[in-house]
Amino acid sequence: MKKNNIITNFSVLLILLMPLMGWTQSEWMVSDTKQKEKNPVAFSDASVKDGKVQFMANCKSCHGDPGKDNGLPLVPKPTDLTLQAFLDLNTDGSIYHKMTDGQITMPSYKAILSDQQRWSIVNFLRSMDKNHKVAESVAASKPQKEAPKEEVAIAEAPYYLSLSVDAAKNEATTVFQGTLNGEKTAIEGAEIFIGIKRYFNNLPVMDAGATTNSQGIIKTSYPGDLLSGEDGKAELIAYVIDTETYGEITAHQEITLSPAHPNHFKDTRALWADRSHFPWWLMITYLSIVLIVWSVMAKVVINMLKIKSLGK
Amino acid sequence: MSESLSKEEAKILVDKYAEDAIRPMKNHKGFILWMGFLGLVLVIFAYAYFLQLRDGLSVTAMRDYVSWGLYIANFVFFVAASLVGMLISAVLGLLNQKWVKPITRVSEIIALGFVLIAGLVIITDMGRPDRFLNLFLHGRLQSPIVWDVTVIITYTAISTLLFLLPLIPDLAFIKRRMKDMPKWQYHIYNVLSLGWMGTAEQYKLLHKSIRMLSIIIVPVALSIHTVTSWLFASTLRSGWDTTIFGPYFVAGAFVAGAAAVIILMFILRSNYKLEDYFTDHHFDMMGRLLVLVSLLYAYFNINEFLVPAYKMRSGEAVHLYTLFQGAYAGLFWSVQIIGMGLPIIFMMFKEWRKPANLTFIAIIVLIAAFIKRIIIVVPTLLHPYLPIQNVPEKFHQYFPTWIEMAVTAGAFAMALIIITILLKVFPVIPMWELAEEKGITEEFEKQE
Ligand code: HEC
Repeated sequence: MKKNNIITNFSVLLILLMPLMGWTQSEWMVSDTKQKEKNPVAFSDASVKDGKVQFMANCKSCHGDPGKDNGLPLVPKPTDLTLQAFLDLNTDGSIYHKMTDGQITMPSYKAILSDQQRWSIVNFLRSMDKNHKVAESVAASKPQKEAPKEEVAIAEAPYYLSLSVDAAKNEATTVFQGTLNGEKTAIEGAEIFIGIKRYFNNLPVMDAGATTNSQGIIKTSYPGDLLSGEDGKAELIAYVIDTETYGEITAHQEITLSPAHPNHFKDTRALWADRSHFPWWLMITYLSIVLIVWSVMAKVVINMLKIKSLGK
Repeated sequence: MSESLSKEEAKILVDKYAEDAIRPMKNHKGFILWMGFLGLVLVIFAYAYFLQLRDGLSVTAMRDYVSWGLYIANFVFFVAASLVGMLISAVLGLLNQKWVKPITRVSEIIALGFVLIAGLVIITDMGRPDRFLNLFLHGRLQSPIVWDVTVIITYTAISTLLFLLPLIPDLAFIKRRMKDMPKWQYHIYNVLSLGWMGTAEQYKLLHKSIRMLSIIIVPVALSIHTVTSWLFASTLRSGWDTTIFGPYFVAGAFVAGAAAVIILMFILRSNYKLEDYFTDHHFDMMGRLLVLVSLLYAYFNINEFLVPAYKMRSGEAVHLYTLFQGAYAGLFWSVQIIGMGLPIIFMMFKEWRKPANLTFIAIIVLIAAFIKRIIIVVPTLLHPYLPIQNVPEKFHQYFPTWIEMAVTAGAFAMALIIITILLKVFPVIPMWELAEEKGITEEFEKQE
């Protein structure tokens, strides 16, 4: 009985210390029951696609492109979650809870993504898993995941990327093609970035993770009410994201967004304005204080000179 | 104090003034030793600053989050210490506090020494000091930094005038009385005494000018430290974003300055036998003054910490917890209790306002005042509104490097060198004012 007590106490202590240990050692602690949790979201095309969109929007910035192992150089490093080694080691429940709880630099997505979305990300990751066996019940409706569609066209360089705009609908269309037997052929499944050019970085307008369809096309709409300069002119830019396979391929297209009303922001006299646009009240206050104080000093200096002349 | 003295007595008294004022100005061993020590600190400073210039501010412990450290804390301290000149010679002078007369010059010398170096301290905080001029070329009038520069320059000018002006009759006196002085020294006295003859008209002009300066220096001195506090208070940061910062800084400055004056008084008194000028009564009164300004400071402290602590607004709470029970709790409570609470209580007893005891307290108060400036500057920067993430461990805390300490020590050495030289070259006792009080101006001005 007594011994039992000690053991209970000890394990309670251990459990209490667990978060601490997790914090200091950056070891992931996912309990057995959590690890065994089953994915309630059926593995389907839709779910994989949704998961991919979420992954591209939320995780890619740190974990890098799927399969490239090019995550940010943080310590500890964000694993490439599509690596076979990772997928073999982690159950669905484990992946789900890791992203749900987070730890140190790995944010918790509990409040950011819905349950459904988080499980969909697991499905997306599993879609890259060679050893993934879809549960019996879903197997019937198993998507054509293994269908070797991607192998259809093995287009080669030169590649062509075109970008056209339907100004009335604010819609942009990119077509990505390669060369097969001397003919232009659509490339399917390629990720293309489409965005509006800005200083420093571009504003993406395509759906995160969108890939070209069987005609090599991605369509997307852009916000035409965006303000851009006095004439509303802006530049749409598209480029193939997978530069390793295809090289640097970009296309540009001028578009017209909404004209920003020329504002006289810079001409406002205000505290936050530049140095030539100080508010007058400030200038008057400043100058008069400086003037008063320094003229008193000047008067004192004059008095000193008077004292001097009196001494002669 | 207008009991008239006989001719004889007057002559003896004036001779005594001359002797006592000239004594500290003579060379002695201590002076060389002291200056040698300060010189050594300056050499270390020069090397440290050379390293900083060569390698940039990365040699300091300041990083992305704590971008103001020891240097800015030191700057605030210097500005604070310089404020005492105004408090003692202007405010108390205008209030007709007669006892303060012999102390005025000591306080003006401290003010001058610290304010002259305060500007330099800011420059040591610049990674590219060669860009200092840009402040004048491109500074925005809307920026408190520009106000600060303006007000510091102005205060330096007024302090210089307020130091030189009351020296005029004394320098003329010394010029007559001090024998065997080097030529350059005679020259300085000759120029600065402006051909003083002690005529009634000259006295009238002198009094008028001193009065004008005493009045104008009060708002300028208040604004120098208020504007310095605005460098902090005009941001939205927890711990700085408070409306009370101006008076809080000014009250703190009075505490630091009064402590500095007490220490210097004690050094002068015990080294140069000036007990007749810095009497037990003076220490007693300075002790009372220190209690008064400390109470004022305590009052602002209560406002500064109790009101936000009552509300514990989220950002503010993180900051306050750090001070009350976190990483800075040790420093914070020692400064508040040992540097402010206990001194107030002790100084209420006459025993502790005796010269040696009071000086002991003043040293503690002054050290606490310096640490307090660090507590004001650093912890706030450790709690930015954006969480500190994915950054090297070093960014999470701040402890100054030896280079920062050496540069700071160098700034102190410079201020002390200025103070020491001023004490060597100029009489520390405002003789003519004492003579005037005794009604023996005539004897004082007697040309030989
Ligand atoms: C701010 C950058 C960042 C973002 C954004 C991010 N992660 Fe992480 N993630 C990390 C880091 C860093 C680690 C490694 C933490 C560790 O090992 O302690 C990590 C670890 C993980 C792990 C555990 C890896 C392992 O080796 O066990 C999983 C699972 C994970 N992240 C999933 C996700 C998912 C899913 C998303 C998007 C919803 C995401 N992360 C977004 C930084 C990030």
